[in-house]
Parts: sequence; C-alpha cells; structure tokens
Amino acid sequence: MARRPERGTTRLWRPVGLSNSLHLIALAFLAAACAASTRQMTSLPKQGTAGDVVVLFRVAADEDGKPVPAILSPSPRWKWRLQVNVGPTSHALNTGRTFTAGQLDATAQEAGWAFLTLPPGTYQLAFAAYRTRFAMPGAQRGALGFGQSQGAEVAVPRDAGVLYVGTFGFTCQRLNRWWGYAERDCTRLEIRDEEALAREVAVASLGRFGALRTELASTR
Amino acid sequence: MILWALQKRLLLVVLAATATTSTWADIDHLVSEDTSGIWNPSIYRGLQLGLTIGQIGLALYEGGETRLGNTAWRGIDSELIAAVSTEAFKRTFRRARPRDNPDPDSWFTCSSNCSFVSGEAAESASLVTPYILEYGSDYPAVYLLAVLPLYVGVGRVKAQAHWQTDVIAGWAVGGLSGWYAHQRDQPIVLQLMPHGIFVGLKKSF
Repeated sequence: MARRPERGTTRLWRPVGLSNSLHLIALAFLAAACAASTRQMTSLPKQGTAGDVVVLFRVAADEDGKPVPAILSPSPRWKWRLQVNVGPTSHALNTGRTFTAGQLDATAQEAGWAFLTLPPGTYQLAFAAYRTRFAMPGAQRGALGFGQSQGAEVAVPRDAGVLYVGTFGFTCQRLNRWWGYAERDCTRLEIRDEEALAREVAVASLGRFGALRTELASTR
Repeated sequence: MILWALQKRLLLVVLAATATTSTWADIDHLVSEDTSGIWNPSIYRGLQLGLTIGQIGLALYEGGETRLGNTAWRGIDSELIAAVSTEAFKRTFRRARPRDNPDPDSWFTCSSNCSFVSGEAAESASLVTPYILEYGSDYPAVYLLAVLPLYVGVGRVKAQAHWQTDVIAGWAVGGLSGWYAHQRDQPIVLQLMPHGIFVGLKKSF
C-alpha cells in the first residue's frame, strides 16, 4: 500500500525547498565573497600591514581628436565614466564583475586618477563603460551598449608600496546615430608614462605607503 | 517558490502582530467626507498627472547626460516602481476602503479597487523623492516639494478613499521607490532608451 504523505505541503517543500535553499546559500556566499574582495581592492591598505600594494593609474580619452573628460569616480552619475575589471591573466574577464575603482581626492578624481589595492602577482586590468563599444582585440560587449576594453597586463612586485602602472589613453569616436545603444566607439588603448604627474598624486594622497615605483602595464 | 512561501508567512506574521495589538485601529479613524475646493480629487490628480507628463517631457528633452535630465529619468523609474509596488500591496492585502466599510480591520475582503496602500500618496512621494535627494543639500528650498505628498495624502483621507495607515504606507512605498531609483548606478528606463533619447531631444535635433 502506498504511503500517504502526512501533509500536502511537505511533499513539495522538502525536495524543492532543500535544493533552492542550497542554491540560495551558495549564491549568498558567492555574492558576499565578491563584495568583500571588491571592497578590499578599492580600499587603501591599513597602515602597518605588509603585502598589499596600492596600484595607481589614470585614464584619459580623446573623442574625434579632442580630449574629453574620462573619470573613474562614481559621481557625477550623469557623466560618462569608466569602471574597472581585474582578474588573473589565465582567462577572459567577466563583464558582470566590473566595479568602481578606489577613489582619491576630488581633484585627482576629476583628472582621471584612481587606485586598486592588490597583493603581489600578475593581473589583467580592463576598463568598462555603459554605452561604449570597445573595438579592439579581446574587448567584450555586454547588454544595452555596455562594453569592456581589452585587458592590460599588470605585474605587481612584492617590494612596492605604491605602484604606478600607467595612464590608459583611449582613442574614441562619437557615434551620432539616433538609434542604437553605443554612444562612442573606442578603437585604441595606449599606455602612456606620466610618472611625474603620478608622483605628485602619490605624494599628495598616498605618501604614507612609501615611495612610488613605476612598472608600466602592457597590452597583450 | 520557497521565497514566495517565506514572503507570505512573513506578511501574515506582520499582519497578525499588528492586528492583535490594534495598531491599525489606534491610527485609523473615519473623518467626515470633504471633497470641496482644493480637496477635490480631480484637482490633485490633475496636478500629479501634469507633473508626471512634465517630468517625462523634461527627461526626453534633457536626456540622461545632464543632472536635471538624469534626475527626471530616475523620477520616471521611481514612479513606475511605486505603481507596481502599490498594485502588489493592494492585491495582497485587499483592504476595504473607508467609504465602503467603516471597519479599519477589514483586510482580505475587497475584490477590486482596494485601499492599502494609497496609490496617489505613493505616486506623489515617488515623484518628488529623487529631486529632494539630488538637490536637497544644494538647494534646501527643494524640500518644499514634500508638501505635494502631504497634500495628496490628506486629500485621500478626506475623500474617505483611504485610511490614515494606507497613506502613511503609501508615502513609505513612494519614498523607498524614490530612494532606490536615486541610488541606482543608471536609471532603468533610460538604459533601455536608444542613443537619440539618451542624449536628449535638445541635442538630437
């Protein structure tokens, strides 16, 4: 004789609920882990702790041959701004993992400076923006015109306090089509050396982390 | 499914707790009907409609690349979120309107056009919240926009269309919708708009 379930809801609850609960718990752990690692990368290291290096960089852009403001800060929110994506060099960076880089003072923010706090190692660093198409090798596209540039390889040495990895200059063209999500096409990424400027920013905002060292990133 | 079950249980627990402590009855009371003069519903509804149409016009004209235009797009998001949320509340709680049933504890009785939460109160709060959050610290006079939800809320109670708690909950829903729309990285509706709308009609033509 078939065994009668004790309550109608129990049959549905157990198999579906357990599997869903495990998925939810796993997702919650993953989300918490991602948030924690992002927070660590965008916060300056605590004084006295050895290991992590402050990686300083700047973005610049020109549009149709003229320089345009390129910022890595979250505000003002109505202006074009770039986010960053960092990961190992072994595989492509996921466009869903972009985030706002660590912020310095307002003047540095306006000039396109930002930082990341990373442990020693080799990484790839890419930039992403809404309504921007990056037409370059290794670039990726997301939904609704979200684009991510090619990755640049960044080597973070063990013995550095503050590391300048270069100024990432994008060459873009404005797209004046009425329809479509992309507003600009960025076709070239050039890594420039602005060490003198970087030194000024480092002295003003990051002096307590030691002397600035320069190891320019390279495009792959 | 598990989330829905949890939400349903949570709602029941909250409702049971508030009903047993007669919280609703403490706040809610029937006021004499007054729909004359400025309390005429068509006046504040007309005002809200006018402001909503104005906001859409402003958003389309300015686009998303200016502070004002971007805030207007967030205002549109906020109104949409508030509208969907209030409808969900109305369908879930099915509270009767005061003019239909003088008992403020008449939950799960109404079949359509229900009372909890006040849609007009939520809409008016959602309309002004993004502007208050964006401009309030720079231009304190912007806080005067809060008069609109107050006026609409009082009007709804005077029209015997809502209980006091419907209006308070409506303000909360509208305020939270406005806060959410304001703190988002990108306005939702604007993200779906093509380039021509994004840059604004003033630049497109």
